[in-house]
Amino acid sequence: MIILFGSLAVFLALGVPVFAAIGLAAAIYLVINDIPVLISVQQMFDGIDKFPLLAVPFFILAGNLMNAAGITDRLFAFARSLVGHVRGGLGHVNILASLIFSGMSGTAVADAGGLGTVELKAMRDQGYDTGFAIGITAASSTIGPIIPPSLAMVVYGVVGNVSIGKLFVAGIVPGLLMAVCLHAIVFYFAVRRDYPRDPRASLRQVSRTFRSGFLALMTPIIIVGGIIGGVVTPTEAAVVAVLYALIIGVIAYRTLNVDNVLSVLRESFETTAITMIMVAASVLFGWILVRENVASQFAQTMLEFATEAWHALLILNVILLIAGVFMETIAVILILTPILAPTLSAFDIDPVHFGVVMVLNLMIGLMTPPIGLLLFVMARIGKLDLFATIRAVFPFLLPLFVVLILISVFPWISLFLPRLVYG
Amino acid sequence: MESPQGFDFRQTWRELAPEDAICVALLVSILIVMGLGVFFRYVLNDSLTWSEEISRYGLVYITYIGCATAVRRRSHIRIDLMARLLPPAFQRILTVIIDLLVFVFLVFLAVNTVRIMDVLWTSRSAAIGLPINYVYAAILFGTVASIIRLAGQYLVQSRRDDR
Repeated sequence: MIILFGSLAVFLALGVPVFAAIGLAAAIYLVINDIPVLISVQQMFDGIDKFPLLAVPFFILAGNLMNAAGITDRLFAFARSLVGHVRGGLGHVNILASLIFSGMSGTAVADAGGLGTVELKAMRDQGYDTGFAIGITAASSTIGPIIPPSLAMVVYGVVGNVSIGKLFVAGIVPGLLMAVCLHAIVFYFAVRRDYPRDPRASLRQVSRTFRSGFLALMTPIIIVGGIIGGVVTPTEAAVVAVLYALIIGVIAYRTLNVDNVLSVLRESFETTAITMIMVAASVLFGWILVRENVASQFAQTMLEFATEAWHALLILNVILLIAGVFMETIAVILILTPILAPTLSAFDIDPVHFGVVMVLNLMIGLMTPPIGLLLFVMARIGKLDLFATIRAVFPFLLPLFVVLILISVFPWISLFLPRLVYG
Repeated sequence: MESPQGFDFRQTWRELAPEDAICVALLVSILIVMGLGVFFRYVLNDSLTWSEEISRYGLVYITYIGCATAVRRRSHIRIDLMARLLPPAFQRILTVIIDLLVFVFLVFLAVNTVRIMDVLWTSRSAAIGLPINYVYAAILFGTVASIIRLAGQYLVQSRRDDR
């Protein structure tokens, strides 16, 4: 067991790609313990031969298509006509646009890299300091994986055997809560630093931007509404989202052509393969953990330390935060979900609730050094050096922590909506 | 899809690396197959039994063939903190060590895939009766392609990475 985790840690620290690090650690373990190594190939096949995982390529594809189709500009214009006149207007616009876009895209990075570019440019043009613009853009894009659709939730659901539909619905209220808390901090900065505002948009302007963005604005309603209404499964919703994006991009907006669709396809299959191969290796790793009873031993240890569910949740939060800071989001979900599952049932923690808590923890990790992918994306599109980016993003961790504490302490924030929908 | 002026689809297509072209084609295929599946289920009220299985297998192929793309473009997710902290000379040594470790794992996978295919050669899939080895072959093709792409970076020093 020490060899398994030890070699994994060494490989990861060296910088071996995550899939190979996990796979090698598992392979070494199999060979040393004289377990038939053919199991490795079988697990790495069965692990990804799962229907719900088909949501992965399609949600990635849908998000990238929306970005390429210029839907982001229309969303931004609509959000601007609604809240641009508040003090610190573009900060609020940033949050609102990200919130709407989060209903179409499944990853924070797609949000930051696509919509984020639009948001950043508009804020700079109006004289906002780059630090504030980068901070709020990074923070608002973390709403993406909390609000459905969400790549992280799909992976958690598949590995932890939790209903993806319930997970999706459970993220809606916490996602809205994140938006509220971010609005609060933007308002605070805006008043203190006297940030600019737009003139109030006339009703005509609002209706014009609404009509121009109407088809795009329907996407979250189709996806989220379809899943809540039980009309489509999450996987089917992903397919519908792609087809819808293609239709409005090619026919209605005429912004998609063979050229950019091809490059979107290329980018999307690569992201898919990178994610899925990590899933494959982690399933093998998880198989070993189950075989070794690591997870139930961990639950036993937790029972000695904690007596109540919220104690356990507190410890789990700390573990997740540390893991999220040092590792990549999907990798953490893949490795920790099987280990933590028995602990959840020992403390009567709802795995749906825990899924939301886990993803939010990892979003915070996405914004913190040394591995925060979002920091790298923001530094690149904002053309700011990494340390300045880290400093810029730092204050915006506060509202996310507030939401994390709230949803950890009050499970019903996540759970009442899925209970309402699924009974 | 309409073709805009001055754009040569065949040109762009030909410029794709073979593994990229395969994955793009597969992604479009599973989109069509899944789309058909949804259409049949809702509009014609008649589920296609084969669409789910075909799509799953398509995804397995994308995963492993796409692995070669990510090896070529060095886009596999990894923690590069260590490399950032080291001076450039050591970074190069570290890269070689990492590549060797990836190479070992890919060879391990390839060899064991051949061995498991030897065991599974009579097995067929549940819905459409496809020999299961046709799907396991994805792992073999993918790992071999990845090995070629990994080794190629050392053997062909002058060749530029596309992008």
